[in-house]
Amino acid sequence: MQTKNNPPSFNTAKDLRARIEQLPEVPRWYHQQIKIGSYETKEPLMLYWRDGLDVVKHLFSNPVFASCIDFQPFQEFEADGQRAYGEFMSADLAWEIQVGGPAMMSAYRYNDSL
Amino acid sequence: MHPLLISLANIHAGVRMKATSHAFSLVAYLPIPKFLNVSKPVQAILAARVYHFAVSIVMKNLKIAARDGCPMSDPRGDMRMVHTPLVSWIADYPEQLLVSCTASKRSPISLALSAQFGDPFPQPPRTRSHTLASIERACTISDPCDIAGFYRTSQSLHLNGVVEPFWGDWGDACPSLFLTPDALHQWHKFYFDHCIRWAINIMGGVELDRRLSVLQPRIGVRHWANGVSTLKQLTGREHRDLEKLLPAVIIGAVPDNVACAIRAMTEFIFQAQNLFHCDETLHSLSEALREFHHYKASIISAGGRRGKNGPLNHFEIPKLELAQHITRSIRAMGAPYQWSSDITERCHITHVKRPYRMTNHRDFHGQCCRFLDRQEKLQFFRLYTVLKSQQSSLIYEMSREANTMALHYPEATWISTLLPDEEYVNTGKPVASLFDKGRSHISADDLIAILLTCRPHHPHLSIEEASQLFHIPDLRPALGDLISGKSYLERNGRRVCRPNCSLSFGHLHVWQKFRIQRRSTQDSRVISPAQTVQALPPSSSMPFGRGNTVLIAHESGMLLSPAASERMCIFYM
Repeated sequence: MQTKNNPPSFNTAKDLRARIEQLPEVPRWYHQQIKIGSYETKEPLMLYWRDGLDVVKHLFSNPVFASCIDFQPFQEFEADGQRAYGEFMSADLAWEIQVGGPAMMSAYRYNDSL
Repeated sequence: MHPLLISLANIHAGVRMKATSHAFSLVAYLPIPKFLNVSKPVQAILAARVYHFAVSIVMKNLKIAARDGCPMSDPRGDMRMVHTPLVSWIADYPEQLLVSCTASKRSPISLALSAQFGDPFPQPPRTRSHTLASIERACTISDPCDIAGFYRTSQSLHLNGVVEPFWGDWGDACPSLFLTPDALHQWHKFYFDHCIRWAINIMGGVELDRRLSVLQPRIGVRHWANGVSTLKQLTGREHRDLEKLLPAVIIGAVPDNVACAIRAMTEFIFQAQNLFHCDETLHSLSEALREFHHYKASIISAGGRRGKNGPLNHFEIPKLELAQHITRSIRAMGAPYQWSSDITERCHITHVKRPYRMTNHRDFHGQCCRFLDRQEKLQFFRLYTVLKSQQSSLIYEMSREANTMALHYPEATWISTLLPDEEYVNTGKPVASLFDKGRSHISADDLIAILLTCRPHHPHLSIEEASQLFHIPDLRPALGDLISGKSYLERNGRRVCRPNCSLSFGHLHVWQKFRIQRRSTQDSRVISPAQTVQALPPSSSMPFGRGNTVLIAHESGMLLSPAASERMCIFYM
């Protein structure tokens, strides 16, 4: 009954796929051939790739991560004053990048891609 | 197919390392080149150059953003100026060499040569400037286009022949830092390939197998009925399980110093997996490693090191050298568990194998990309439709009272707050912990939860019946001692109560098993998996019954049980 009253909005598999394709964009795929001088390869060297920055933007804007993401480096200490190292943003490198970056950078917050 | 995945180090490690959180995204399938009519060294150099060239294409804009910054929308929808330096490259040893442009049989992160791999101290790090200067020198000595000639020059400078490493113009990325320790390969696989092999070589595989096979089976833990000595490959989980057993089962069958060395290495691997490190734990970490090196000679003299062509008398194992740099890495990069390749191995299934199976196996790369593209679109569409249908905000504010498991499964938790009764497909559902169950008994410090079945397995037994059922003749005095509250030490390890002492009760409810779950001692928000503890009465098929060993710490911190090996049956009243 359910499906009779509310028929699906597609008729064929092709139709469904076309509708999926119309959904809001995710970082798109590219492909290109890599050639190294005159050397011949068994098969053409194809690189299938997405722009790293697009993917990072996409990951960074995912609302699911709102509660579990650090925007700035921090230092943690045990009760007895010992430095504790856990999350990446709590360790030295993140701190040094923030402190040591060019002056204009320090005005902004940092994000680190893996 | 060689997948390349990317994630954000800002995302908390607990979430990032869960495959269900989709914190790793596929950015490329790198080509695996096979060149025709070239010698092996030329093939290796060309393949390495293709790798770096391909990664450079993918990362081009990230390098620019690392330098200039790029405005991006954050998870709450606010714009931020973001810089994207490279901080970690998760790879196994051969790929680490490839990335750091180091020739084989060298260390990717330090200047150590193979003869120094077994040294008990770290060599200076192989820094970015050192490698870039070496490449420059190689290019002045010989022409990079003359591959065969360049190969010889590169080898003498400990390089792999790559001229433009992809990290060369990516901020200040330094391979000695961004090649982070990989728990899965460097510790767990190392333990199986080496430590267990040493034990087998010294005590014999048959004896090790026998000792493992007589261990009491426990629910949910792999039992080694047929031993390990003939197995070639195991899962990471099984490697970890063996680490917990090996030091105990080799005692007595190997020289004491060998046992000390293997115990120290086990300790090192355990300590290194801490969620948090501080000066104290870093110190004990390096002490454990030092202890191993102190005793390691005994492994050679006992004949533990053996190669294909007979005994070896050295410790030229690259992973031993990598271990020397762990404290340095922890201070710079944080706890190493977050850089383990467990997650990338897992993603190999979801991002390579599964899509590949959906293709017709011809020109499959493009089909895989299309599959992943659609899957990603659907994933967001599904989340969006759920949020819209509930007229909920698209911004996620986690409620404060969210349960503890929620921290690691943000998406499933978000959905479950909106659709509490509905099964939401495609996100890992957090397994409810015993701490969230109303019937659980939770310890006063909230660190341990114990769950019993509603009905006892043997309700209302008299003490005599119970003592007969479980073949424990001194059950009554033992209970008397327990009720008296005198500790084991106060009783000098003896029964104080008389066999016919009177108790304030005459009957017992007996459970044969219970489930127990603990919070991590380091981070109480992290809950370890639940375990089942059994105490089965003797029967015809099990003449001695089964009593799992439990170590119980008293509130004072003292152990009540005199030795870990004492067999204890657990009763609950």
